[in-house]
Amino acid sequence: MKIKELFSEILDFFKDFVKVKTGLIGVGIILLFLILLILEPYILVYKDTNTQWRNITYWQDNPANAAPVWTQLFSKDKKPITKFIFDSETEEEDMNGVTVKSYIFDYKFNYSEAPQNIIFHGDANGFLGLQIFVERPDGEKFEIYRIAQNFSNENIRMTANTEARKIAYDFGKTVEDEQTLLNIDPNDLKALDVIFGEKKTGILVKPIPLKGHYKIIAKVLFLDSAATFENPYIVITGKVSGLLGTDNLKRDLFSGVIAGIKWALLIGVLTAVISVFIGLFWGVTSAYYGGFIDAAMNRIYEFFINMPMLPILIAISAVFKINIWILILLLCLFSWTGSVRTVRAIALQLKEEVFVEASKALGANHWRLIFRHIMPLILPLTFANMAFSVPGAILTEAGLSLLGLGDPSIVTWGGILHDAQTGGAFINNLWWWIIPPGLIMALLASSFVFVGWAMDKILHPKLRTR
Amino acid sequence: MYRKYVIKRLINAVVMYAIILIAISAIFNNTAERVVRQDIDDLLKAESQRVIKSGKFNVEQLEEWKAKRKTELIHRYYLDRPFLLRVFYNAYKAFTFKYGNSMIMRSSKGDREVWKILIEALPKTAILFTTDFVIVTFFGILIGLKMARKPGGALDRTVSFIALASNGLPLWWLGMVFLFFFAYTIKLFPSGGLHSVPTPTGFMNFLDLLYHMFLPLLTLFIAGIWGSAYFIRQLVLGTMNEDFIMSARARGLSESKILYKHTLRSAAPPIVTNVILGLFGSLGGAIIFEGIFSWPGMGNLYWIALQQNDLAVVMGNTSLSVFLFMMGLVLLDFIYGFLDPRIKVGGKA
Repeated sequence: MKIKELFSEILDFFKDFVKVKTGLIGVGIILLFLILLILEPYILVYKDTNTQWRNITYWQDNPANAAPVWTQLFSKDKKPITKFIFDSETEEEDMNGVTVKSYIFDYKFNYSEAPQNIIFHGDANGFLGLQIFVERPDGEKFEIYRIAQNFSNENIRMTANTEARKIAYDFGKTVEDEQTLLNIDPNDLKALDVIFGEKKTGILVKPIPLKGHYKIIAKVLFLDSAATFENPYIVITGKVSGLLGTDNLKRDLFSGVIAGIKWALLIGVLTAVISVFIGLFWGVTSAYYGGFIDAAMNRIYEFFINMPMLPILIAISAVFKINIWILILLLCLFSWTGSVRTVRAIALQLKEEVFVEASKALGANHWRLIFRHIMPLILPLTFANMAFSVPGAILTEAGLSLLGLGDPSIVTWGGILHDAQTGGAFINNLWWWIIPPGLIMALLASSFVFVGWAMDKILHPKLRTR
Repeated sequence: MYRKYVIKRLINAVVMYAIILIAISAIFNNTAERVVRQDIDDLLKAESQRVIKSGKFNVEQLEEWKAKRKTELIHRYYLDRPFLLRVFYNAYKAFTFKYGNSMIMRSSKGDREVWKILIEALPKTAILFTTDFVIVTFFGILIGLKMARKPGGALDRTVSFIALASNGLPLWWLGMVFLFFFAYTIKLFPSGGLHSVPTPTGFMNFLDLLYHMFLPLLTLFIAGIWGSAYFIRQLVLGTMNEDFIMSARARGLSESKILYKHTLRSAAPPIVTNVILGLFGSLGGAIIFEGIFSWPGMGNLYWIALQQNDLAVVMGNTSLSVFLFMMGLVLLDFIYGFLDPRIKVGGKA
C-alpha cells in the first residue's frame, strides 16, 4: 500500500515535471553528462588522462598549442593533423661489416602548412648509430638527425633539432638572394617549414608548402653485434590536434575536459546533498525544540551567514594544501545555511499538527519525531534547494582551482583554466583553452539551476507567480 | 520603541561581529604566528649586526643579549601567551580597527599601515561596483517592467530563461572570455589595471579610468542584468496582484501609469534593499574577478596579500569586509524598522 502510494506520488511529480520545459532541458543536460561520465573510459582519447595529466612525457608526441581539428572544416587551407605511422618498408644492407637497417615511412603531405615536428620512436639496445632523413617529392634529401650512442634497452625519441635548422638554412641559402639572407637569423628559422617548402626564392621568409609523397627514412647502424632495434614508428605532429586542441604542455584538452566531468559532478552533488541534509536537520531541530535551543541554533546560523565564504576558503586552502574531500567538507560547512529558513518555517507549522501530538501521546521520543516523522515530510521540499546549491559548489571549487589552490592530483576545469591563465593562452590567442572548460562548467551548473527551478515550481505551488 | 529596537539590533550585530572576528583570528592564528616569528628573527638579525659593529659585547655577552632580546620581542608580540589569549588579542585588535603594520606590502605612498593600504583599495572596488549596481538596476527596472507587462510573452520567457542560466555562469570565466576577445584578439581595451602608465591628468584621467573600467563593467553587466530584470519582474508581478492596483485599474488609469507610478513605487523598497545589500556585500571585493582584470581593489589586495603571506593585510581586509557587510545589514534593518513598525514591535515574523 505504502509503496504504491509513493509510486503514484512520484508519477504525479513526473507528470507535473514534464510540463515545465526548462526543467526538462536541465534534466536532459544532466543525463547527457551522466552518459558522458559512464562512457568516460571509451571517450577519453588518452586513456591515462586521469593519472598522467601532469606527466609531461606522457603528452610529448602531441603538438603544443594546436587548434582543434574541426577548425579545418571551415578553412580552405588545411593544416596538418598529427599522424602516427607504424608501417614501414625495411631494407637491410651491409656496409663494411656493419649491418644497416633502413626503415622507410611514407607520408602523404597535402596541407597548407608544414607539420610541427617529426618524431622517431623505437626500442633501442646496445651501441647504435641513428640517422633520420627526409626525402622530398622533388628528390631533395635532408638529414635531420644523427646520433651514435650506447643504449640500454630504452624507448628512444628523436626529433628534428638545431642540426636540422642549420641544414634547412643551408638549403635555403642556395635560392635566396643575399639581401634577404642578411635579414634572417638562422636561429629563428623553423626547420620543418623549410624542409616542407617549395625550393624557390622566399623559402626562408615565407615558405610555400610542397605537396606530395614524402619519405622519412630512419637508418639504424648496428655498431655492435648484440645491438637490437625494434618497434620503430614515427609521429608527424601537426598544427591541429584532437577535438578541443592542446595546451602549451601538449595535453589533449578534450580528454582533460571529459576527465573533469566526474569531479565537477561529485563536488556539486555531494556538497549539495550533505549541506541540504544538515540544513534540514538544523531547521527541523531548531523549530521543534524552540526556546533556548532555537535561539542558540539561530545564532550559529547567523554566524555562518555573515561569514565571508570565499575569502576564508581561499585562505584555508592557501595555508593548508587541501584535497578534494576536505574541500567538499569545507564547502558543506559554508553552504548548509541555504535551506534552513524554509525548512524551519515549514517545521514550525508541522510540529503543531495532530499527528505529531498523536505520536507524542503514543510515547515517541523527540528524536523519533524529528527523524521519522517531521524530516521525511519536509525532505521532498528541499530537493529544489539541493539542485540550487549544486552550481554554487561547482563554481566555488572551480574558482579555487583557478587561483591554483585546487587539489593538484585531479583534473578539474578550474585547474585547466588556471593553466590557461598562467600558460599564455591569452597572449597566444588559444581560445580553445579558455572557452570549452568554462562553457561546459556553465552548462552543467545551469542545468541544475533549471532542474531546481522546475522542482520549486511544482513543490511550492504557493510561490508561483501567474 | 524604535530606540529599543535599534539598540537591540546594534548589540546583536556587535556581538556577532566580535564572534566572527574571533573565528577568523583563530583560523589565521597559526600562520600569523609563523609570520611574526619570522619577523622577530629578521629584526633580531638586523639588531645583532648593529651590536656587533658597535663592538660593545664579546661573544658570550652577545648570545645572552640576543636571547634576552628575543624573549622580550616574543613577549611583546604575545607569542608566549596561550592560544586562546592570542586569538582574543588579535580579534580585539581587529575589532578596534587597529590592523597594525603590514609585513611586505605598502600603499602607493609607501605606508606600511594596513589601514592606509585598505583605504586606498576600498574606493577602487567601490567605484567599480557602484557603477555596476547603478547601471544594472536602471536597465533591470526597464527590462523588468517590460517583462511584467506581458508575463509569459516572448521577452519575458527569454529573459527569465537567461536569468536562470546565468545563475550557473561563472562570472570570472565570462571576464576571462571578454578579456580574451576584447583585449587580446581585437585589442580594443586594455588588459587590466586602473590607469594606463603614465597616468594622464585632468579630464583625460577620468576618460582613462572609464576606458579601463569598461571591460569589467561590461562583464558585470552582461552577467547581472538578467537576474536583476527577473527580480524586478517578480516584484512587480507580486504587487500587481494587490488590491490597490485593481482599484487603480477600476478607476480607469492607463496601464503604463499603473505600472510606472503605482506598482514601481510600492516595489521600490525591496529594490533599494537589494541594491544596498549587494553593494555592501561587494565592497569586500570579488577576489577572483578583480584578479582577472588586475583591478587594484579589495579583492585583488586580499589575494596578493595572501600570496605574499602578509597576514596583517589579510586579516584587516577580511575584518573590514565583514564589517561593511554587517553594517549594510544593520542599516537596512534600521531603515526597515523605521518604515515598517510591525518589524520592530514583535521582533518575530
